[in-house]
Amino acid sequence: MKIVVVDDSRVMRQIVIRTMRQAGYGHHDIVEAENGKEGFDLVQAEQPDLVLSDWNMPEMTGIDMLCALRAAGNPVTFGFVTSEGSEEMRTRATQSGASFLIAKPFTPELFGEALTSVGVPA
Amino acid sequence: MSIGEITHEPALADLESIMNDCWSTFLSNIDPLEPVAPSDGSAYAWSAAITVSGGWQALVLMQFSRAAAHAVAQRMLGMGADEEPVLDDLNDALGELVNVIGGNVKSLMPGPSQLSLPLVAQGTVSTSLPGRTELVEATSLDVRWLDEPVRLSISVASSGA
Repeated sequence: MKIVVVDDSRVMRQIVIRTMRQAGYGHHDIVEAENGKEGFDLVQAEQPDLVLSDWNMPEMTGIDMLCALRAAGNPVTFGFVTSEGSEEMRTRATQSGASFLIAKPFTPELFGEALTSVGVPA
Repeated sequence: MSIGEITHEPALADLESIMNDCWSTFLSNIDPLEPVAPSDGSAYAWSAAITVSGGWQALVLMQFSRAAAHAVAQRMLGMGADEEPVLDDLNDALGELVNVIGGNVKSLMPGPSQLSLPLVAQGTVSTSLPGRTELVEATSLDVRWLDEPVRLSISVASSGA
């Protein structure tokens, strides 16, 4: 499967990829983007199976990227990986079309549960 | 504080819990962080700040000694102990750490509110600007990590402003 990881922090993108590897998902093809605008263009071009995105980013936030994708008719499976895990944020994420929200800091187990829930094989 | 005005601040126990979660998850820390008395300001070489605005307004500030800041970057990037992080690594790692801590603190406070992008600086961040709203420290946590000082503080607008 192809997975797009979107986060303005290179450190966090590396942590996400490392954690996916620890959770048994390291064999998937992973592509990175630095912000929502870059992420939107990449998702439209690459047609991945899953997007893992931060919420708060320069250029375009993750929630705006998700809304733009849905407005463009792109149904890609989308999950947030963000420092803000309140009920309010989870509700906004779901209402906008996200399948899950992983709150930072996260464990490989949490990642595994989220990816399993959307059918990504380990 | 005027009558009827309610201020909110995170509990010290919550700050400890958030920091320990971050340290164990991102920095491979095993033992709980040890709270200590505040260090002199000169101990800190790096600052990372993030603001919350809206239903709750605050400045979340982390301060690190040089060695602690370098250790944060090394561990978050999976670098060896003999590898030196460059400036971009430090800005990125410290910024992301305060982003995660700030986001977790925000989730405990009244909403809705917005989290800013992080700011990282060498040196200290002033919370008092002459002629402007002054921030007062509401809660703080000083810890010792790898025998180095790290500080987390939450400042809110002074009611006297």
